[in-house]
Amino acid sequence: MNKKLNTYTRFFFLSIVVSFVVATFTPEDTLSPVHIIFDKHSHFDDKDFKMEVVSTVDSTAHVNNLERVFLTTGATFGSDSRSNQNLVFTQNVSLRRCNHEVDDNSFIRIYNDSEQGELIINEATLVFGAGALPTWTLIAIVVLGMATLSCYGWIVILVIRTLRNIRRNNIFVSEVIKNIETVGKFFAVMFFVRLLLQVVFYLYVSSNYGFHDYQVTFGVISKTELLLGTGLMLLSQIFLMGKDLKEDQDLTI
Amino acid sequence: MAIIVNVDVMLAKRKMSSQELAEKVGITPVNLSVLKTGKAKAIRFSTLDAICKALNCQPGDILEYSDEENADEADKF
Repeated sequence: MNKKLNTYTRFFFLSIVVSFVVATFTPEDTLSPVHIIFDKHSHFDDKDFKMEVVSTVDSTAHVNNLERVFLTTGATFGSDSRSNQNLVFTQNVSLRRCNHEVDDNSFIRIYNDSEQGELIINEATLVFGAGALPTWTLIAIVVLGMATLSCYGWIVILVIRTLRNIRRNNIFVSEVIKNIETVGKFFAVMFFVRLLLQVVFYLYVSSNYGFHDYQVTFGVISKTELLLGTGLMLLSQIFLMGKDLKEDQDLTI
Repeated sequence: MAIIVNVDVMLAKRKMSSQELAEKVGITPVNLSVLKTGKAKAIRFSTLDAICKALNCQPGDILEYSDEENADEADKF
């Protein structure tokens, strides 16, 4: 067994363990099962681009269900002092209801302010305007967002190259193996980049904003990239073994 | 590799061309060249059988074991 295969096998099993641990300790599973569901189509007011949280259910829903929305709190719409601070969430930050005896009037309200400039980078919504994100957060988000985008770009290019090779029946060749390994590494890197992005958002949101009756939680970490990445890295080494076998076969007279 | 293939020696002894041997054995000239240059990783018994038949010789006339690599290593010490 070659050294890389050994290492990648360990990585793969480690990622399974990490995924299991993450799945066990994410807020969804460990904290209150009450989550907020944002219904895009309910109580929609065309005139003011207003939406309301219409229900709290036992199912999982996150703020990213609504794109390009600003989130604010208040008993009556527009009266809250935070309404101009443009609090922005990505898929990585979620809210958990912590007071079950909440008054009907103190639900969270969401509205879409079309006058604010928005830039969407890979699911992360950056808002420029009054109460914009602080510089360090903004820089971190832009850098990490660009890194994620670059990873996605390379993955697409490498997958196309690999598929082209496979179509030509060049499966057990060095290029395909290298591409699969690189795609795997990119996926693994992306997991950590997104995790970092999530930490940045969480730190920013949790330290700067508070919600009456709601608690900001760390959100759900996507384990798919890590598993896919380490799985592909392992697969590349299996392909390498296949390549050696093919070479042996080709050089058998 | 410590195994030396002496097909070219046998070909010279039998005054036979590589092309002719390849045809008699039923392998491609390219594969015969791979065998002659020592790049082959393995040889099938059926191929060996066909080569021996075509050259009228024993497997030992074609294949030879040489301990030169090990000897070179030993010389270093």
